[in-house]
Amino acid sequence: MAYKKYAYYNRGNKVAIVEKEITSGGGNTAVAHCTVGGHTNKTDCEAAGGQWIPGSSSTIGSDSYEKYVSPKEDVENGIEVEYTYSPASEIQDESDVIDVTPYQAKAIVYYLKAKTAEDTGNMEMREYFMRLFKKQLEKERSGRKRGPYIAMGDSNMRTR
Amino acid sequence: MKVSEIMERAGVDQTGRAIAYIKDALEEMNLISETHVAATRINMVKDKRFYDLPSDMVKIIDLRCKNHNCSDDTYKSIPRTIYQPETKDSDGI
Repeated sequence: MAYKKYAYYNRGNKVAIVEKEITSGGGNTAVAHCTVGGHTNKTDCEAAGGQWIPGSSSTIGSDSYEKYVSPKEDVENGIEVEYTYSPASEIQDESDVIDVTPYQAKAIVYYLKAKTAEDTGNMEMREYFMRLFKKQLEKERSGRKRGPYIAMGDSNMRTR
Repeated sequence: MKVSEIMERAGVDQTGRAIAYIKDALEEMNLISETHVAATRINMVKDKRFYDLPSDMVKIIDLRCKNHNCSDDTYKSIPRTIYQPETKDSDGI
């Protein structure tokens, strides 16, 4: 299986996937020549006290450059997207249960209060409840973390 | 927690409005603190550069490709380019 390098960028509502391609360009070949006079063979060149420089069949100073292009082959399930989504479509009426923790549900209460205040034009109250909404969410997230963090290396950190 | 319980706590009695705001709140929550996470796989097609993202997506957490920086069929995170590549997609798809 081939070793590949991909990257992405965003364009509108879509994501663009590009693959690295390494292209090598043609270099130059050395032409055999004598350092003295116009001698065309090694014997005459050395007899005249020169040095014969042989030619080369392989290229010298060939260029290779990298560029990103569209994917070069089909790959089944080649892209994996991990994302957050809103479970909003599951809510239809009052009796529906929202798939959130009780603590997150309290954050929703603050959001509702903020929006109600916004509707009545009370922007001060709106800001107050919005701040509580964000604080409640942050507290909920930090409640799930315990102990020290550890640093984990990745493939880019290895010694080559 | 039920929608009705949230409505009682917030002092809202209009169901339609409450549900609309709860939906907004869920979206906002997923932008801020990633409460609902999912993953999906898309087929990579030769010469196709642009891919649709899931319609219910709020935020991308990670984008991985098969055999990126490896050759054992595993998925690894791919970097985002700072600039768009010079080689444009010829057909724009």
